[in-house]
Parts: sequence; C-alpha cells; structure tokens
Amino acid sequence: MNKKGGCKPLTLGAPIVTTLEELRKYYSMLKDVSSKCQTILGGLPSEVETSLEDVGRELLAIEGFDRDAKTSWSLSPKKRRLVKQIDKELPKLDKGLNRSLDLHIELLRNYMVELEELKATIMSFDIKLGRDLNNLSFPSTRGKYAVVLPVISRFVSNLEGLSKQLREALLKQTNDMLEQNRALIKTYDRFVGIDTSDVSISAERTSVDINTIPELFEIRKTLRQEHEYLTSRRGEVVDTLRAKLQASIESALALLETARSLNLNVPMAISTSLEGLMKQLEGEANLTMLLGLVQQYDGQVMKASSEIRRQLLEFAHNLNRILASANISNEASFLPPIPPEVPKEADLAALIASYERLQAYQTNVETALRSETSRILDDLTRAVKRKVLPNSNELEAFVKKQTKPLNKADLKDLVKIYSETSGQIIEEHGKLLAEIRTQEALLVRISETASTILDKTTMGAAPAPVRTTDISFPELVEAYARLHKHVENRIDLFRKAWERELNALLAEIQVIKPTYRESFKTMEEFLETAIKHIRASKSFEEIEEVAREAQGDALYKAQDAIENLKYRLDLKLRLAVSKLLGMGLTIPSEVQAAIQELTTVVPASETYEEAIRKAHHIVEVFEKRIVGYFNQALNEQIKAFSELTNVSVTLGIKTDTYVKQSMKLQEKLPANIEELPDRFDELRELLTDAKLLKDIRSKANEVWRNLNSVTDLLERHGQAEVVVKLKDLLARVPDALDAEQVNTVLEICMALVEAQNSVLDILRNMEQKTEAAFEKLLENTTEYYSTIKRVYDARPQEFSKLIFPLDTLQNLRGKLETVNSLPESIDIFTTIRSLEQQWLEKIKELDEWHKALRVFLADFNPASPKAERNRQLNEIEKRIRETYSREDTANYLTWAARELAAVMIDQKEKAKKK
Amino acid sequence: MEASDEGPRVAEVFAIGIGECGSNLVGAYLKQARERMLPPRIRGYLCMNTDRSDIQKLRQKYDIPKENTLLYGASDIGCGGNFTDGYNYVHDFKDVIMGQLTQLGFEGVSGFIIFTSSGGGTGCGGAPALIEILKQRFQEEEGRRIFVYVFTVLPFKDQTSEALNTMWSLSKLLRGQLEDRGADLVCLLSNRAMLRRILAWREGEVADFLQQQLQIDVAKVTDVEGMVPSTVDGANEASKAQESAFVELVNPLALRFVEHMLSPGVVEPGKEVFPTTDIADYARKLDPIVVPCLYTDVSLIPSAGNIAMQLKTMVKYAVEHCSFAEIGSEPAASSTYYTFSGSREYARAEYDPHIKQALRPYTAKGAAITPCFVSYEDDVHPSDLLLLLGLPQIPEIEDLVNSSTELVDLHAGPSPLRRGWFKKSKGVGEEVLRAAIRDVAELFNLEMK
Repeated sequence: MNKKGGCKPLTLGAPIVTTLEELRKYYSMLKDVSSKCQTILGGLPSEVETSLEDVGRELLAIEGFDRDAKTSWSLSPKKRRLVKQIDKELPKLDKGLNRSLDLHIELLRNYMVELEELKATIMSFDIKLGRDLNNLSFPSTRGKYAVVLPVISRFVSNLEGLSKQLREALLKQTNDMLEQNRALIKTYDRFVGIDTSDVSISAERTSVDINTIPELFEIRKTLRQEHEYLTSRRGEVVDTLRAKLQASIESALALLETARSLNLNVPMAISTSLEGLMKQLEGEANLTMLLGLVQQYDGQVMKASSEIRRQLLEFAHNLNRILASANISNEASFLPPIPPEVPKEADLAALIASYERLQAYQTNVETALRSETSRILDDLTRAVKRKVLPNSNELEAFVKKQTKPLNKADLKDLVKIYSETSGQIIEEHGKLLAEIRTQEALLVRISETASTILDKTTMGAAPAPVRTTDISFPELVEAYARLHKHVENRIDLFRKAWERELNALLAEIQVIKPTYRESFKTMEEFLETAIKHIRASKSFEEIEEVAREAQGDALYKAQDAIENLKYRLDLKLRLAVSKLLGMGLTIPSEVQAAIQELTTVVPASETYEEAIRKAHHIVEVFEKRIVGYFNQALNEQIKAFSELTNVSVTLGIKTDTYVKQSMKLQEKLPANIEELPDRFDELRELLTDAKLLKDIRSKANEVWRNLNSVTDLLERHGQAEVVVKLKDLLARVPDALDAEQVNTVLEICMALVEAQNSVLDILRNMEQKTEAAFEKLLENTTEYYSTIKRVYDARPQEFSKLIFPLDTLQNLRGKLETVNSLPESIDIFTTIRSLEQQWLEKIKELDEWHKALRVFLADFNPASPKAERNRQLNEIEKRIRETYSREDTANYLTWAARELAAVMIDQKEKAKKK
Repeated sequence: MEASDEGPRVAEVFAIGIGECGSNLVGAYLKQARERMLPPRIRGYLCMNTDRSDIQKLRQKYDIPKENTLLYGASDIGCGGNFTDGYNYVHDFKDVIMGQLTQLGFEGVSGFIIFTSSGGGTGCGGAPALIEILKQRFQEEEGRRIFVYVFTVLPFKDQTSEALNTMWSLSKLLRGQLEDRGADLVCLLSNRAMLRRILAWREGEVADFLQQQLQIDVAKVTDVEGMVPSTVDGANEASKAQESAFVELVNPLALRFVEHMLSPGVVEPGKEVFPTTDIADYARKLDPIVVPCLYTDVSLIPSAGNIAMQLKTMVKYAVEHCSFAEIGSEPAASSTYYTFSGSREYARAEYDPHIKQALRPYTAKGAAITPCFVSYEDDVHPSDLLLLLGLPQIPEIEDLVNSSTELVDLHAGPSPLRRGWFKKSKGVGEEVLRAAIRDVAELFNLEMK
C-alpha cells in the first residue's frame, strides 16, 4: 500500500493476492452499506448506484489482469504488460471507492437531517424509539475509505434496525386509522352520501405500505385529518338517516295499505311493528341505534314482501289452471302476452305492481277470449247468412245462444263459451268438407253426362278442387258457395243445352211456311211440352231423362208429318195443273220432273235431320220449282209490260191506266197455286190493248221521219258507219209496226228513239271534237290567241258587237248540249260551223293587229307607280286612236293593250314576291 | 347585182371572225344560217384567234371544221387585252393567214365581213391589221376594189379596259379609211343596248336563261347590263362564264341584223328589190360608222286607215326601241339607209315619202336618206324595217370616252414606273391612247371631261 492508502506498487513476479483481497473486502463492505441505505431510504439515486457499479467493474478488470499475470511466464513481455496495466488501473479503483463512499455518506447525512426534523414527532409517537434515535449520532467521515468505511458500516447497521422498528409501528397505526376512516365513509355513504374528494386518501387507498419514515408520518397526518373531518359530519348523518328511515317506514306502511286495498292479505302485525319503529325514531338517537332500527325495518319489510309474493304466485297459478281446464294454452295466439314473473326481491312496490299486472293480464285474457269467441260466432253468422249451408237454421240458433251471455261472463264462463263455440265451428268445418266432396262428385258426373250434348268450351273449365288444409271456416264457406254455384250453373247449362237441342228440332219445323206446317202441328206440341218440362225441372237426372225421351220420339213423329204433307200437296197440284193446261199454258219438262220428284219422296228416315231435310225438300220442290216457276213466268211478263209502259211515258204516250193495272197484278202475285190460272188471264188482256198500240205506232212514225233527215249530215261529217246502221233500222220499221202485241210494237219504237238519242249524242260529240280542234287551230293561227280570249272575256258584249259575235257562237254551243229535238240540233250544228269559219278569218286579222301592240306598249313600264301607269296607258290609248281611224281596230288594240299591261303588272308583282 | 347565164350572180362575201367575240359571232351566224337554209351568200369563213383554248371551244360548240380556224401569234394563250400584240401578230403571221384564206377559196369575193369586238386584244388589235393586209392584197396588188365591213361589238357597261381598247380600235379603223386601208363601214353593235332590247321583249326567256347559266334572278336586278365583268385583264373563269352567258344572249340579235343587211343582195323567187341594193351601196352612201336599228315583224294595218301615221309610229319605234346601240330620241344621224321588207301588200315603194317624213326628226338637217324595198309575192314573209343611221349621237360612246380618259389619267403621271402600265398592258404609250380618245371624241362632237 502506498501512503495514500492505495495498493502498494506491485513488484514484477511478486504475488498481488493480499492487496486484491483487501480491495475485495472494502468493495463488499461498501456494497453492504449501499444495500442498507437502500432499505432505509426505500431506494438509491442512480448516481450512487452507478458509482458502486463502476467500482465493481474496475475491480473485475483488475482481477482479470491478475489472473492472466499469474498464468504468464514471469519474464514474459505479456506479464510485464499486465503488471503495468494493473498498476495503471489500481489508482482508478482507489478513486472510485472513495467517490462512491462519499456519495453514500452524503445520502445518509441528508436522511439524518430529515429524522432530526421529525424528532419531536417520533418522540410523541414512541418515546423509546425516539430516544434510541436521538442517541444515534452520525460518525466522523474524515479519512479514506479504509478508515471511514468500517465506521459507516456500523452506523448504517444501527440506523437500519431503528428504522425498521419505527416503520413497522407506524405502518400498523396508519393502517388501523385508514380502516376506521373507510368504515365511516361506507356508513355515511349508505345514508347521506359523501363527497370523497374531502377524504381522498381514505376513500381511494385500501392499505398503506410505504417504506420511508417521513412519508409514513406524512400519510399518518393526512389520515388523522380525514378522520377528524368524518367525525365532524356524524350529527348530520344521524339526522339524515333518521329522516330516511322515517320516510321508508311511511312508504312501507302506505304500500301495505295499498296491497290490502288490492285484496292482498298482509298481516296487521307487520304494520304495527313498523309503527313501533316509527315511534322509536321520534326520541333521542345516535348512529348505532339508528343502524339497529334500520335492521328491524328491513326484517319487517322482508316479511311483508314474502307474504305478498306468495299470494301473487297463487293468483297466477289459479289463472293458468282455469285456462288449462279448457285446453287453452296461455301461449295461444289470440291471448295477450304472458306477464313477467313475480319478482324475487323484497321490493314491496315492485310486488304490488306485479300484482296489478297480473290482474290486468286476467282482464286482457277475458277480453281476448270474448273477442275470439265473437270472431268465431261472426264467422258462423256470415256462413249462416250465405245461406248455402244445409244446417243454417240450427247454426243460427246456436250463435244466438252463445252470443247472449258473452258480454257478462266471467273468466270461467268465458272459457266455457269459447270452448263450445270453437268446438262447434270445428264440427261445421268437417261437415262442410264432406258436403264439398259430394258436390265435387256431382260436378264430375254432370261433366261426364253433359259431354254428349255440350262441348267443353260451353261447359267451361272444371273448378279447381277445394283446398281442405290450412283453410279457415269463412274461406271454406266461400269455397263451398262457389262450388255450389258452379254446380247449379252446370245444371243450368245442361238444361239450357237440352232446351236448345229440342228448340233446334222445333226450329227446323218452324221454318217450314205456315201454309205447309199444318202437317207438323202434333209434333210441334210434343216438343214444346218437353221443353216446358225441362225448363221447370231442377234435378239433373230428371232433365236428362225427359230430354232424351223427347229426342228419341221426335223422329217417328216427323215421319208421320211428312206423309201427311205429301198427300195434301199432291191434291192441290193436280187441280191447278189441269186448269193451266186448259188455258193453253204448257207445262215444261223441268216442272214435270219436279212433280214426279215430289211424289217419289219416302217419309221413312234414319235420323230426325234427314226427315226434316225431306220435309224441306218437298216444300222447296213444290214452292220453287213448281209454284215458283209459274209465279216467275207471270212476274216476268208483268214486269216486261211495266217497263214498256214506263218507256212509253218517256215517248209521250199516256199509259197511266196500264201502269196501274200492271202494278196491281204485280202486287198480288199468287201465293197459292190455286190462284195462278186467273192471273195469267188478266195479263193477256193488257198486252193486246188497241189504244195503246195506236199511240205507240204514231210515235214510231215521227221518229222514223227525223232519222231519215239526218243521214246526209252524218255522212258529211264522216259518220258513215253510223249511217249504215241507221238505215238498216229504218228499213225494219214498217213490218214491225204491224204486230198485234204491244211489246213487239213498242220494241221497234224504242229502237228508233234510242237511235235518235244516239244521233243527238253523236252530234254533241262531233261538236265537242270540232270545237277542240277549232280551238287548236286558233291557237296555231295566232300566238296572241290567249290575249284575244282575255280581251273577249273582259268585254264579251262590246267585243261581240264590235269585233265578232263570239257570244252567239258560245251560246249556240251551250244550247246544243241541252236541246233534245233532232231537227233543232241539226240546225244549230250547221250554224256553229259557219260562225267558226268567220271567226277564224277574224282571228287572222286580229293577229295582224296584235303586232302593233309591241310598238305602243314599248313606252309602258309595269314597275311604275299606279298613277304613272294609268297615265301611260291613257297616252297609249290616245296614240292608238290617232294611228288607226277604224273604230274596231282602235278599240280592240286599246282593250288588248290594257289586258297586256295588266298581265305585265301581274308578272312584275309575282316576280317581286318571289 | 349582176345576172349571168346560169342565173342571177350573187355578190359573195367572206366572213372572218377575229378574236373570241368575232369568232363566236361567225360561228353563231353559220349555225343559224345552216338551220334556216339561207342562200349561200357567204363564200367561206375563217375564225382566227391567238388563244388555243378559245379556238377549241369554238370548234366544239359550233361544229366548225379545223381548216376554218386559225391559231396564230407568238404564244397560244391570247393577247390578254393587249391590242398592240393583236395588231402585230396579224402582220407577223400575214403569210400564214393569207395562205389559209387562199385555201378556203377567198379569191374573187366582193367583200369581207369582219366580226370582232372593239374591246378585246386579238380582235381589237387584229381587225385593223387584217384590213390592211386584205386591202394591200386586193387593191394594191390586184387593183380590185373590195369592201370590208367591220361589225364591232362595243363592250358592256363598266368594262373600262375594254373601253380604252375600243377608243384605239375605232381610231385605228377610221384613220385607216383616210389612207384607203381601213374599214369601208364600221357597224357598231352595243352589247348593253342589245341586251336591253332582249330584256324588253323576251324578259321571261332571258330570266330563265340567266337563272340557268348564272343563277341570277333578273327580276331582282335593276341593271343587268352593268353586271358583265371585264375579262381582258386577268379574268377568272367565273367572269368569263358570266360574260359568255350575256354574249350568248345578244349574239343572235346581232346576227339578225347581218342577215337583213345581206338580204337585199340575195336572189329568191317571188322577191323584188327596189332600188337594187347590195353591200357596196351601204359603204358608199353612209358615213363610216353606222348604228343599225332593226324592227322585225312590223305591224301595218292598211285597212285600218291613216297609213302615214302608222308608218310614223313604225319608224319612231324602230329608232327609239330597236337600235343596236343607244342613240336616244334625237340621234341627228348624218346619213340614213333603210330597208323595208315584207309581203307585197306591205313593202310598198309608195310608202317611201311617209317613211322619209317619219325619219326626219332623227336625222341631221340635210342628211341623205336612202330607201330600199324588198317585197315578196307570198304573204308568209313578215314585214321588217332595218335602219342604218350614219354617225348618230351615241351616248354610250360618250361613256366609253369618259371611262377611257379616267383609266388613262389613272395610270398617267410623272412616275415612269406608273406609266409603265401603258406599255405593259396596251403596248403603246400614253400619248397614242390619248390621241385615239381625242379622235373618237372629235368624231362624235363630244366634249372631253
């Protein structure tokens, strides 16, 4: 060791164990001191801990060097270097030890100063410990660690012992105080409530476990203050608790009264006990006493609630039992939801509320039962009203019986009524299902039977089978009603079909004319009776039976009727034919064939239709081919005569009498074969009337003369073909007029008149063509033709007077269109041709005149204003009149100039608009 | 007119169209003549041009054989309004021209009708030169008198460059007369006047034609003749088409005049001419420049009475509404020639006093009036009146003089660069042009502005 107390310098090769051992000892001693300091102080600053760790690390390094040096050869450079290294490190270790020790001493000194300040407190807390502490003085710390460390080590050991005792005593006392405070807080909190910020330590901590004495003293002080605060509030707590207890007792008494009023049986003793508690509360009371009263109060309330709960459970059980007796589940959909279970806690108010809910539930159950029963009764009532059920009357009585007591019934009665009603509807449901099956089966039977007479379309689609599951009673009633109606409809269809069928048979007879229907009368009556029977019948089977029988018998009756008809007609025919033959009429072969056909018809037939066809055939042959033939022949002859008389009128021959007679004949064409011979006789007289014949011949002669006179004109106008035909006709006239029959004479007369009309048309046509050709000629003759026409159109009278009588020409053309007299037409036609020739010559002259207009109109400007244009036109007129002395020329050119000017103005206006 | 053993001999002429306008007139005339079957008054014809494309179009349009056309000049793209080029080319190609004319059989003809425009380049410049070489060929070399009539078409309104060319052309043609190397008669045909005539009586047809060709609605145009653009200075295709459309309209009218002018010399059965008249007579009795008036299908109604008044109305209409250049209502013509043709009933020589009386208001005092009646036996010939008014007052010429003066003034001035336009565009100096304008102004007694 050197004089500074460090290790003495090492000699090369010499062992260094002694010095190193010492160092280890001091280090260990320092570690012990440090450990105790930590216990006393409850922890060390990091600087202090680091200083100790530095010493340890330095020591470890030196120990390493030392180990290496021991294993090295003594004279080796390594050993020397290691020794050198150790020498270098030792002073650092020395310095470290001193520094670390100083730091610990500093800590201890500071702690002692703190204890010194608490000395009086400690003394008051524990006098012995206070004295021991007082006797413990801080040792001298002068000198290096080798001197100081052992002294300090001892001091620390003593301090640690004292500190431990003091701390344990303090901890116990502090925790007791904490527990006491917390008990008070809990009690206060239960009755009055407390602001825990005023007693935060007591409220928040459950125990105290602090190491340092000063801190323990500090918390002990705080807890004491909080204890004092809690004690100060005790009176307030007592008052509050008393008030609360009084209120609770009053409330409990009131609730017990309510329970009784709800018919709950609560022993009066409980109320009496509670009233006793109330009286006790009125006297002096401390907290402990009050807490005892609270306990009694709780006991009485518990008793009361147990009693009430028992009764509640009994009530609920009873209700469920009644429902169950009628097999009604309390979960049935029409019932109200089950109320919550009876509460298990002893809350009187909750129990009473629960009782009230149970009572309400029972009322709701009653209402629901009543409502559901009403609904079922309504369903039954509706079904009754539908009047389709077989037992509607019985059901109506049942509904009445059940409805009456419903409103006044209690739960028990309600359950009974509901049970009976629902049972009834289930039974009805079953019955209805069975009936539906029966009706469906009937429907099938009708369909099968009716298919021979009705087609499927007429019958309509079969209804879908009625659904039997998941179907309500009203739905089932409706389905049954529909089905029932369908069945009735089918029967009705079936009935009508048969009616139609028989009516069709009847109709076939009825189309036979009444004249011939006598033979079918028995048959008609038979069918009508059958139809009436079917119409009145409602039974499907009955309808079918009657109808089929009628259908079968109809054929035989039809055959009888045909036989009868044949006989009657044959008789009439023979009589009429013999008369007509007598009048000279011939019976044509087709009529004879028809008569033969009639007699050979055989009444026996395979079917009714065939028989009826034969009847119709007989009537048809008789009416159309025999009577029809004679009637047509008569009618044609009358008609021909009527037409002749009509034509005669157009020729100016008086035929009124003949027309009337012929019309009369035509109106009374015989319906019976018996009348035919007389009518033929009347007609023959009309056709040979002498006066009529004379009139027609006279007219024919007149027309013949007219036509003879026109042939030359037609030939001149290239109508040679027409003339040839005309001459041929004229040659035939004399012979034809000698005939004795009116129609023959009239025929030739008409031919002549027609020829005359044709000639008139030819003349008109010739005129039209000639006029068109003439117009074309005029247009080609002069390019000014359109202007000339405009001039004429503007002044037809002046033009006709001064220039050319164009109006006469036009009038004649119009007249030719309407004149019906051939001589007059010929005259007009000839005059027109002559005038046209003159007009053509005039047109050529006008063409020459027109050239002058260009000259005069050169000074005319159509674009000038109107006044200026008028002035120009007046000037032109003046110049024209100066230039030409002839009046017609001057006038025409003046008119033409004005017309052309108007056209120019018009064109200009149009051009402007474009 | 002379008669030979084979029948009446007709004085024949040779038609030459020079430049685009002249060639078109010849083409149209020949086409019309072929269609109407006129007597062969024209011995032959030649269409000359310095523009190849114009020649090709002409051939195609009028079906003219190649030998009747001649392309000459230094280039084949025309003169572009430069009349000096037009003039020089004819002299330069004199042999070619004469050679082709010989081939076409022009020997022995009595005269030439040269159709041209006064405002172009090729025709305007070429016509005086052509007359010079023709006169030289016949009169100086053969000693035979020939008559050269120039039908020159005045430009449309507002064609100022053409107006200046017209001044030079007229001056050159008339000055040539002084040396007997110019035109014997220059007939002025005014495009604008002819167009107005057509518009007056054929408005509908003209409107349709212009609508079809140029999409112009005449009804909405107040001054149609003013719409014809200048085409001598760098004209575009649209302008050319526009001018061509208007020329198409006026050409037939111009040709009817030519036809009537040549008609008295045409011998036809049943036709009488009194007094005998041929083309030489026009040149002899009229002033060098004439304006024709043609009134076709005249209206005379002898049976309507007052024939003197009717004839007066006829003459008045012919002068005031049928002139081929605007001459107004007081033209004061220095000489007049009239030809009245038609059926014998109308074209009667006894009407001469009435016609002369009617013409007096339109002639200068002392002016001679020469008549010619062409009457036909049949009555299918319409009555036509042709008036040739020598040196009348022509307001249109005054317009041309003024336009030309303005154009010369525009390019005149001290700047030689500015004055260069004259040489470049016209091939002559300013003075030459001013002298030409002065000539025309003096001839027509116009006061220059």
